[in-house]
Amino acid sequence: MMNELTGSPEQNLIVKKKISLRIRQLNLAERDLWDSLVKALPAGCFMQSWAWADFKELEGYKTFRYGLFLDKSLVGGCIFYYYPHSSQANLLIAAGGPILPPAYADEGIQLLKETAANLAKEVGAIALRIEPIWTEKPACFEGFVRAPADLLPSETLLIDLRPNEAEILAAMKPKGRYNLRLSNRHGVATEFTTNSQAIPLFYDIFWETVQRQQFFGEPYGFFINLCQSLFAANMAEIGLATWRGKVLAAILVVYWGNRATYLYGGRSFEHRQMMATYALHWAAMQQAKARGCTVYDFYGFSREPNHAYANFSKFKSQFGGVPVTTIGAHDYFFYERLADTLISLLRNLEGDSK
Amino acid sequence: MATSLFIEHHANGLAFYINGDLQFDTADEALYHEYLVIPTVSLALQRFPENDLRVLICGGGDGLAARDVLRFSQVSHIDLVDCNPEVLELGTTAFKPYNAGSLENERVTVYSQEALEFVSTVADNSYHAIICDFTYPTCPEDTTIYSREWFQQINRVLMPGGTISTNGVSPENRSNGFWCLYQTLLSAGLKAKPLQLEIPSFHRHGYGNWGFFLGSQAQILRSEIEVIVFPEDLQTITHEKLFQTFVFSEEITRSRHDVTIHTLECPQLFYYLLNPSFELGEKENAGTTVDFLEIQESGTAILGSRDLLKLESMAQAWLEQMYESSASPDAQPNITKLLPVQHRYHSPKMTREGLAYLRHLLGEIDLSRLLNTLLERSQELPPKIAGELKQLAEKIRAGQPIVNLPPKTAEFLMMLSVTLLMANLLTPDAVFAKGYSSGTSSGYSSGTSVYYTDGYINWELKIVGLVMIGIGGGWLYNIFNPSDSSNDE
Repeated sequence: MMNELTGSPEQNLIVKKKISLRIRQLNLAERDLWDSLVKALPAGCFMQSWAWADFKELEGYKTFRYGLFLDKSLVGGCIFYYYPHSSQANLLIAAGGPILPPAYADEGIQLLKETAANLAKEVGAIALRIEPIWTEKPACFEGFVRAPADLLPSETLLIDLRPNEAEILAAMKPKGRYNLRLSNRHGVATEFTTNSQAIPLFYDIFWETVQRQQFFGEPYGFFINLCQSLFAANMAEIGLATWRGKVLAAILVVYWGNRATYLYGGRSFEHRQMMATYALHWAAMQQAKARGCTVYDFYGFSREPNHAYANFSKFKSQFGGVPVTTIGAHDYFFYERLADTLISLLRNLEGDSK
Repeated sequence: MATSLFIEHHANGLAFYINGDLQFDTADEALYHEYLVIPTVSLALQRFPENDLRVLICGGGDGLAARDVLRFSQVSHIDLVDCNPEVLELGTTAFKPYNAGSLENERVTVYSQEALEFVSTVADNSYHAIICDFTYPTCPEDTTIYSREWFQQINRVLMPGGTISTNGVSPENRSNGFWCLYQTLLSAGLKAKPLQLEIPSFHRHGYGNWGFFLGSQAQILRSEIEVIVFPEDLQTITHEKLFQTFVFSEEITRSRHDVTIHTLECPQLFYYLLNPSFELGEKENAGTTVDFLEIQESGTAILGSRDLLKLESMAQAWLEQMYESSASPDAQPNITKLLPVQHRYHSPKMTREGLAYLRHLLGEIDLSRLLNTLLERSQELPPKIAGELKQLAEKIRAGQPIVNLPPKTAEFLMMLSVTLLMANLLTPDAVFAKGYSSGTSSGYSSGTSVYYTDGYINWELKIVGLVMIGIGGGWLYNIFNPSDSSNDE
């Protein structure tokens, strides 16, 4: 099943035509065209969507949106992200990218590398970090090296939403089904909304969880920007689980193509016995299904007991699903740019060293 | 940077956010605005009793500061300049019930433009009082309107003896930033008095006590403040409470003579805001206070030697540390200088966790290729460095271990390390990464989230120590060993 959900650009090779691939910057009028292309791919990621790029611009990033064209047809491309700084030591990032046409992966990645190299010169970047959600490295990956940290979790858990409700329930672990029934018996209510007035409700629960679990959480402003951008594009919803009027759990779900991704969430420490998170994720799956999604992505999973995700993963695995590992973030260094930076440092600091 | 606005409605009114930072909550905005506006205008009124007052408000597009200036019948004209038309629009719509329609008052002229641009066109000595109600800086560009050059402009358009007040930052959470502003005001020829205030909604957001400055070219005396007259119907401010706002604990004021000032040439404020360098108090001074109405201080006007957020500054700090560590291996490095926080979403702890993958970052580099690239441009390199890099390239080609590095080679590898670290620190999302490829995980702090004092012994320092001492050691051999295939996994 998972071959249908993820894949590398070299799967399902099609016969090449004798047309050369071109690259150019996308304009606003091509927004829907670009989004349709990225949505249609099994490995198309919401971080390559137009709205996500707009959100990142609100966050201070600069974005460069490039399309690969065969004749006049858009067949691939990449949104590059860059956080401006006067230093000549920066990264160009393509989270969830690039988007490569299967039959033209080599040419496509070459054009994107050349484009990125030119951008790097312009903005002072020493490397391009890409992070496609492919399960295999393609042959065209020469020159890319594994980066130490991933922006997208390279291991995740996917729930297949194509079976009917009873079948999805049956695929859950017994404890998961039991807890879900328990939350129903307790009368935990769930709702999904794109009303921005739910952002503080979500954030209060999220931040409580951050502090309890001691992980790094983004500030309130980040979620204001994120939700306002994605709600306007009908790409996300906040899910709330309440009991007797009190919010016990909250999640943020992003919808993109066939995939609903549980991006952020948290639960209150109070009334844990209500099992509100079970009711909420189950409702999120139904909501995703109703919106035409075929995959529910738990966004971060580990099978290792000592991993920081171990506790979360134990909870997530109660819903069944298939763990999927993607290739993770990879860096492509621009050695000339890196040399520029180092030469500048060596020259300017020569007098300061012993 | 684009601006995002958000209005959060609650039972008793609303809270307004710009770029995720709370601007005001109607539940307690009177506290903020009355302390920002009333002392300044009251003092100007006392100093110019025979004049119709002209007031300039910079920022304040919500109309709330203007509302409080309009309480003074002696104010004949207000110019309000705000660069954000959307906020000005809200000032005449959503915020109108709270600002009493101030932006549509006949005494108010609204300008939608950059304050700096507006003020540069204004004649000298134009205003009796100036109020700066700007947002908290979210990027280096935002700090222009907190620079000495800005305050010099303000001073220029202010009448001799006129008064200014400016929104500051939290003296509690951003002490060095607060005193940097204080010294910057003093250096611009404005005798500034710091004030601090507890605003409940700000506290709820973790901002700490909030700070302001009251200033003038002429000294501000307690005797003057004692007799200023407030308008009627104020909600929060009283003379007694106002006096208390000038009183600070000695602990918070301690760094005020040591900070550098913020100028356009050598910006310092953003570094201070990102790197608050919180220090635990020393018990012997507990309870000691400083009343700024009792003292008249001159500015120190200490200029920074460099922008500490720049790659060059960071590299210089690492170089200095490298030689210090060689001389005295037990010396504790100043982590704040070595790894300054570069983004407002990051904490020192997050930044330092980046050290955990320094080794992996170095391992990503094809050192032979980098050296060849550099040696092709050897005429651009200082001769001694070029010579040593050539030897290093030969060693690698011959498969010899990289140990006992000559000093310039060690410096080069240090700068490479810093460059790679910097590139990763500058990317805001990097610290929220969802896992290391080494199998450990980021996204989680490994301890408490308090700011460390410099010299705090923890694992990060151990890593720095390892890097400093081991820069010429065997660990580099392991990283750059050509047979290492960890990058091909």
